[in-house]
Amino acid sequence: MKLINEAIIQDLKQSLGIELLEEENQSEILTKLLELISENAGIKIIENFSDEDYKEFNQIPRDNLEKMENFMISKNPQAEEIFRQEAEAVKRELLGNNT
Amino acid sequence: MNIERGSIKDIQLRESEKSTEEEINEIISFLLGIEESIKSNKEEVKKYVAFEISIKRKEDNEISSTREQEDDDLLESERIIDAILLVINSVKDKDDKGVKKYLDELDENNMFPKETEVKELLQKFLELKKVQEEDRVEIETEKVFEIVPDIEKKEVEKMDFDELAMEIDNIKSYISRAAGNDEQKQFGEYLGSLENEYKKREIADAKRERKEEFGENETEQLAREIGNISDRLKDYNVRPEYIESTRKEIEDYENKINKGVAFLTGALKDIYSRKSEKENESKDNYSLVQMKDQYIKLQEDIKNVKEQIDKIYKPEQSLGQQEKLEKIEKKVGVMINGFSKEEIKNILDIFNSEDEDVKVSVIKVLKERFSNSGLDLDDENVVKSITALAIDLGKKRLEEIETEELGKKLAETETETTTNSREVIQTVKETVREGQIRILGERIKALDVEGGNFEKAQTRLKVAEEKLRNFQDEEGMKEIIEKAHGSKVLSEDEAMKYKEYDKFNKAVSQESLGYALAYSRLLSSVDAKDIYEVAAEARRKSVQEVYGHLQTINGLIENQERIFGECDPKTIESVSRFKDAVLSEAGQEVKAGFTDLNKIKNVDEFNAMIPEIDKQLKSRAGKMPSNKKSSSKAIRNNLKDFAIISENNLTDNDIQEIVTDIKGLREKIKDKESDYAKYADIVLTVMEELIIGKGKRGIIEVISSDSGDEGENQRVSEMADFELIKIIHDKAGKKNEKKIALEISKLINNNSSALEGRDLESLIENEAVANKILNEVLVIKDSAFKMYVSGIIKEKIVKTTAEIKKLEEEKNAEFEGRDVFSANDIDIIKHPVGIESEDKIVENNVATGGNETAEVQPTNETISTEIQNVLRDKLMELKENDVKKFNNLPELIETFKKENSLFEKKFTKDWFRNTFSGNEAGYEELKDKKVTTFMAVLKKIYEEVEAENDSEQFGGEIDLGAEDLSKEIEVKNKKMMTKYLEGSVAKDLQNLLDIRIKSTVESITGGNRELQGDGIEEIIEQTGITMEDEDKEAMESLTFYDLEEVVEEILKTRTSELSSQGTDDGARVEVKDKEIFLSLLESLDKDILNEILISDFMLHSINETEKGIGDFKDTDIKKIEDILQKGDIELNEDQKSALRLITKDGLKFHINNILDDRLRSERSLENN
Repeated sequence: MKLINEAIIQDLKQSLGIELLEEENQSEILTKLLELISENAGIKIIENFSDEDYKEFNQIPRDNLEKMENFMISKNPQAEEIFRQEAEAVKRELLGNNT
Repeated sequence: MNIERGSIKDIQLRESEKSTEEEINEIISFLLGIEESIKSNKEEVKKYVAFEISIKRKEDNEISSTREQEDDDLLESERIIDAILLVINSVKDKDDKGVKKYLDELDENNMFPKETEVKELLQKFLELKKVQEEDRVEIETEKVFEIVPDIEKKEVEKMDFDELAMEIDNIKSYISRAAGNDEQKQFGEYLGSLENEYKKREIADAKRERKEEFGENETEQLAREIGNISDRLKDYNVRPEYIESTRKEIEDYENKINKGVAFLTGALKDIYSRKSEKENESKDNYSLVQMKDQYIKLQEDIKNVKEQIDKIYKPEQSLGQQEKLEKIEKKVGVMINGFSKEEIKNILDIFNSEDEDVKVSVIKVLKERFSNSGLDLDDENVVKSITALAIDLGKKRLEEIETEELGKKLAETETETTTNSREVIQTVKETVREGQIRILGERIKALDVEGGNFEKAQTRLKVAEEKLRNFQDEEGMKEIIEKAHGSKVLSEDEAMKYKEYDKFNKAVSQESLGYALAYSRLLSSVDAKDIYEVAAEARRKSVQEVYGHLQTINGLIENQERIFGECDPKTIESVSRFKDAVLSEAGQEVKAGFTDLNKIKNVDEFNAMIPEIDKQLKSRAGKMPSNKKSSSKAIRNNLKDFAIISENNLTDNDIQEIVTDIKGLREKIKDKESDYAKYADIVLTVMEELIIGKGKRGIIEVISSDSGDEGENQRVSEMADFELIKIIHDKAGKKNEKKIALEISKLINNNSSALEGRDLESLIENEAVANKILNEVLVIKDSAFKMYVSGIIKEKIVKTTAEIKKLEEEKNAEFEGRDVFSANDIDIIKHPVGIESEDKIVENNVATGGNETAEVQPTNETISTEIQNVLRDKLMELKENDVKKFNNLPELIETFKKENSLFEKKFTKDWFRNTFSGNEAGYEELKDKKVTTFMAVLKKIYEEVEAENDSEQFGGEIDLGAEDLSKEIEVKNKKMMTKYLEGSVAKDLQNLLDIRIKSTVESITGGNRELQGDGIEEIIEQTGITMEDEDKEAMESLTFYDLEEVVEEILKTRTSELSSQGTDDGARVEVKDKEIFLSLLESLDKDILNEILISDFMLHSINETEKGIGDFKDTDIKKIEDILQKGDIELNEDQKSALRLITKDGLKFHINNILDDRLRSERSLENN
């Protein structure tokens, strides 16, 4: 995964204390986080797509994440930053509620 | 470990005042103290040394301690302790070389923990030994130059034992140094008397010692010990695991007692031999006699104890008994673990109850519960043992539960007062263990709280809180925090500030934890116990916080979904696609967390996986609602139970118990939505399949397994059939494969029922069907299904064929030893069910030896024409009715020749009963006929009928008339005819020899193989061979083997005649078997062969397979290939497959076609 990269995942794990959990539980909580971040950031990038972009994007096979990410980056050079900010926002939300 | 740091100093201070030997002895004494201390507190010492190691490790910059490292430290510690014990042993032996060796090894391997006194002592010991050795060398050197002193002899008797020893040494030394023979001789005699006295004293001393050893006190002690053992055995406190050690104990006492008896007997004998009878009655001797009596009594006692223990645990049974008890222990453990605290308390009350009624009830329940355990539950001791076991395990479990409750209470307290850890710490204060302070210390260090100093931690926390407060109070900071927490976009500057704030916030969390831990350390250093719990609680709290995040995340997702729902459809679609792709990739990680149960194939593999499954169930259940948690627990308990009992033989009761449990658990996890439920469902399925023994995963093993028990094999085989059908249906995906699967299912079902009903005919048919299906499967191009199914069918065919053979043998055995129809057989034939009156008449005839019976000659009498006609008619009917079963008459005849038993099977008692029902004359005539004679007649009639019908029913004869065929064809057909005659006709005649003549001759001659006139006539009649009178006379002198040669000669002549008649004879060729086909192939040219293989031959053959059986096996096809290769023709795979499927019928049809075509083509050529 390019947009939600290893650095983002590691930061989430460490700052939220996910590392303390058993491995499978870590996966579960991380999956939910990824769901949240990918949706939040995804909307911000995809809602600016043109009709052609939508069409082209939807033709990418569902199992080809890499191609989807490349496409998003090609359409919005700030895509990586948007994802990073979304991850930060989610993290802040969580820490704010628990500290 | 009591190693006082002052001790070594004391030794050092005092060393100047002592001799080297004394110092060494002091070190030895000190080390012995250490050894004793180590041995008596090994675990504590181990922890201490491990602690030292960890300190050293940390100094080596290994910052934090993991659980694994701690375990390693303990192992290392154990290794060091063992090495130290070894070295101490060497010290005890004053073996300085040994000490040096071990010391070097310890040093080389860096095995000494920091600041250990042992090392210092050992080094000191070596130094002292070195000094001692130097002294010794010095003394020895001095001795060399020593002047030999004057020696005076002493009175030997007046010296004590030690003086004697010293004097002997002196004299020896003197003699060695003195010069001159006289002196040597003089002191040599003196030395001899000294040594004699010494020896005498030594013997007396040893006797005294033994007397003490086997003295009065010792007998009392032994009696007490034996009494104790006896009491233990009576109270049945001896648990199975202690039996062996108790036996050893008894054995040691027994040896001691036997030695005592032997010694006292010897001593008394010695006294008696040297003293008068009067002296023997002295008080001293009397006490010896008494002691001996006591020992003999002890021998009796020990014998009784041995009997006592053998009665409870017979040596030959003890192992089995122990295993059974262990099994029960595990089961009881599992049961107990399933009970609540209150239930366990009740159980303990019940088991401890003195009320007789309660005791009776307990015994009753135990008997019910463990009826299949193999233990003798009528044995009071066994019941006591189980009861003791239950009480023991119950108490342990109760303690566990109470500990768990305390843990929960602590957790609750902690949750309620998350900001104030003091109360929690106070609560756990009393239950903290000393060894775990160290762990806490390490954790504190890891948190950088300066060695756990409470004051400093407190200050640090205050500072961190102060910093946070100050930062929060900065202008605009509150707004930034609110904005960030409200998920609003921050400017770059705001984001930086929030990041700073976050750092302060985290620092406070960190310092709070450090403060809490340091405070724990403070308290625990005052009254240190179980501080580990505090650290664990801290961790648990952090985990709770993370789960708190999970709740928040779920809330965020919910909120986000609302926003998402308001987006335009295009965005929704694209974002959904993207999200799916992300989750799919991330999800793989989640799925990887599960064990792949589908890979499990048998019970052993399942057992090996149980710990992993158990772990996963446990971890999954941690996040489930309470009802799922309890299901998870139940499954895990069940897994353990399964693991325990599957190590032993599963009883029906075990299986039933688990099956019931699984059923109950399935109910509980009805909800298929959660991952847990799905996973648990798979676990239960695997358990069920493996336990019941008919699971898919076990099926391959089941098929090939042989338990050695026929009944069990049958049961397993039936289960396997059932599963096979399921598997085949599951696997058969494609249309064609589905069809095959269906056929195989039928086949298997039919086989099972046929085997059960011992229906030979069905079995034969089923085998044929199996062959057919197999051929169909073989045609399917490479596929897993093909491999799978063909394997299964082959297995079934092998089994079926073996079963058929077995049944045939049994069937034949029915006729063996029964030359005539019994009265009962005739009765059955003559009187179908319901004809009461006639039954009686016949019974009377048979029973009284009626006239009719007496007149019949039970020999080679031929069946009358009238009865033969009846049989003939019935055979005709039979053919009509059975045309489907037998397909066609030639085939039936062929089968009949090969499968004599089938013929016999057709003419069953039922068949006779139906055929001759109401035909009194027929019954009478049949009565007392020899079975062999009767069968021979029947066969003959059968063949006649066949011959009559053959041309009508199958008009496929080939007319080889010369005028119809070209010259070339004539030649070829003549060749073919010759082959036929050599093959088929000869074969027919040979069959006559083998089947008919042989049996006829044997019946006629009584087995001496000498032919008589009647026999020859019968052969002529049956075979149709013409024979002159002189030949007949000649034959009378022949043996059976001579006859064979004659027949062969006749055959040659006949073949020759037929060949010469050739086409003019219009010989009728009937293709009967594959040999002819091979001959035909050989006789045909390349073009015709090609035509055969690629034209309608194949098509027809394949069509024929729908109703026929392939008669050509792989070996035949090989032969065909060989023939074809001569004509440079190679069969392709399709052609080979077609050959495998061709029937005799198809073959005949095709040959006729070829010949017709050939004829037509020749005619056409002629016309042109």
